[in-house]
Amino acid sequence: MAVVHAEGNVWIKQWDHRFHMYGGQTCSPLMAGSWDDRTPLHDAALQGRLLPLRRLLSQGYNVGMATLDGITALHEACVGGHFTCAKLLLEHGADANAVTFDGATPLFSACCSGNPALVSLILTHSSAHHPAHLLCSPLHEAAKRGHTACVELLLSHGVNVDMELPSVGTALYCACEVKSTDCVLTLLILGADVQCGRGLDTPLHAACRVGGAKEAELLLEHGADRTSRNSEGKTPLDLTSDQSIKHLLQTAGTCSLSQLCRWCIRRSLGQKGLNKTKTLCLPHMLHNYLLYH
Amino acid sequence: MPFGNSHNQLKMKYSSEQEYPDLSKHNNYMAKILTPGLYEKLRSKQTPSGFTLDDVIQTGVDNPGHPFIMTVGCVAGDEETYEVFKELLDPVIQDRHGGYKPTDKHKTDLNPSNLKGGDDLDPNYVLSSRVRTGRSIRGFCLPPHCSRGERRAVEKLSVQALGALAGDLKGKYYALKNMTEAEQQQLIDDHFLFDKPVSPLLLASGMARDWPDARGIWHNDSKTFLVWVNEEDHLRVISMQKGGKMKEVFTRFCIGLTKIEELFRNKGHAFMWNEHLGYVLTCPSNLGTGLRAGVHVKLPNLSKYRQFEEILKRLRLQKRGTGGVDTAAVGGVFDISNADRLGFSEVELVQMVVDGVKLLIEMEKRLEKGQSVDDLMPAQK
Repeated sequence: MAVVHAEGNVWIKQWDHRFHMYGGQTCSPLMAGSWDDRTPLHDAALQGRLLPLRRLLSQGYNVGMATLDGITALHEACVGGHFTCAKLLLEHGADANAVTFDGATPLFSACCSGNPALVSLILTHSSAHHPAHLLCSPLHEAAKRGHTACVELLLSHGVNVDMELPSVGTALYCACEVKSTDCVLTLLILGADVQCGRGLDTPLHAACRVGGAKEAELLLEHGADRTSRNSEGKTPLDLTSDQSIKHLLQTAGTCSLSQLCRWCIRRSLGQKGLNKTKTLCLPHMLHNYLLYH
Repeated sequence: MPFGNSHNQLKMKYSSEQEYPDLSKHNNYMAKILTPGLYEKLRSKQTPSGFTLDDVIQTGVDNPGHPFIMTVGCVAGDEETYEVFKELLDPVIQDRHGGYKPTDKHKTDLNPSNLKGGDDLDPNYVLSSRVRTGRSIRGFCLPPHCSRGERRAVEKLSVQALGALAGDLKGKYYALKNMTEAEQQQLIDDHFLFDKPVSPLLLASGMARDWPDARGIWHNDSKTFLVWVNEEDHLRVISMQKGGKMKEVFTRFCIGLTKIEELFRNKGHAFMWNEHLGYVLTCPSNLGTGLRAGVHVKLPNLSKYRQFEEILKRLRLQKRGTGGVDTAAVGGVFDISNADRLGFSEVELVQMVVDGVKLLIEMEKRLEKGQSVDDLMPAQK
């Protein structure tokens, strides 16, 4: 035991020495390339190697050690989608609100990897409403990558479904751009405004531009206005060369009164209202009608 | 190294399929290019010093890489590596350096008088300027592969050459293994000290063996010119000073580097250079000029501008954290430097930084006043 204890002390001194030497950084910034500043802790976290991670932490490695760009081991565990490693880091005091130089939070990184259990874990340790998310939005990242389960989690934690990032658009717009059908459907059902895209460009414009026939169909089923014009004066029909989409846009008939009423009510309720609607004691028929069950 | 001449012979008893590394989870240039067929073709080859294909790729095999950051995944063990294994390294270089072809010629220009401007970057925004590069000494293996004797010879030659510098370049060498605590503390305070790397990527390449034997730091008396000996490359050289006088920094860089090269050549050891790859360094990402010219610059408003990344890309610049140098308590300070290394000359790269940083500062000033910067958006360089 004495030997083990002594060894632990040596390790702690070594890491502390380095921390002091570089002013809290992992290496000298003077000559460092883009990979020199990644420590064994970052490497283990990124690759999901639990044993070395546990060992390094038990030897006194500083859990908050950041690269020159402010990337912590927790960010890397989240990028790699490693739930168990992230959990271990958090138990050792990792900061779930740490922001990298590029503005990424661990939640943002977790949404890149798309592991719902991991996203859920991070959400218990940090807020979904971090100010950094106005620039690097986890919701948009999840939508862009088609991580539907993560989108649902974020929305259930109160993230604004219609948040529009300048030059990026809404999450729905992003999902349409990458033709993520499941994601588009989920966003619509959970209250996304079918007309909110990027400026005057609607999600339907995005879907038509990339030839997303399924997405276009879903948007129309949820009340998308096929006659709306973007900042260049173009309608969705003007942006597509896909014959099936053209046919869809040109033949979409008059909607039923039932459908129009549903759209109108849902738009009035908005995301928050729809969430609360779930808790009302509505008759099954009415519940299913409003919430597309 | 775990591999070597005799081990390569032993390895040939196993089939190519049995020896081919598992690259299924990898995200680096090497893994994308090294097919089983190419591996079979190259695996029996070695350079005159005995560096093999498996030596080249070991660091990329042991470090699968990052989902969003592409590393090259290979290193050179000597100058001949780039020729013997060109069927692997040429495609890696092409991918990493914006399409640089095996038939392309690199430009070298270390004449600081060719730099236009660069002496007037606003000191209210630019906190410090620096230009850095690496050099390899011909006739010796590179850090991932060199023997202890070679490494010590490199150190000895370097100390002799640097000791011959005079005037404002006169300085002193500190060997890592002999440093007093006071010297160590001073170098820490100056942000000059380096230690054995902890990065698994660097360690896997073998460049940190025998640490700290034959490693050291030299700097001039005014601390504006610094040389690291036997870190990732034989020599890492940096010229730097407070403020925005990049012209002065680059001039010192060129004069100092040229003098050092002359001193080495006089001792019969030129720097590794050829007309295709320019200066040859350990990592394929650092060929050509190996140069990174940068400034620490305050851009708190511009960095929040959504198009910041796009602006940097168009100016062929990159941004990094400053690691606390100049900026311990200041937010919004970035290390802005050139993104390219090969295919452009030293003067061209520094020129891009000078012109680009000037534009970034102008945009920052506009945003401070709440004005638009749309008319200043640069075209792709």
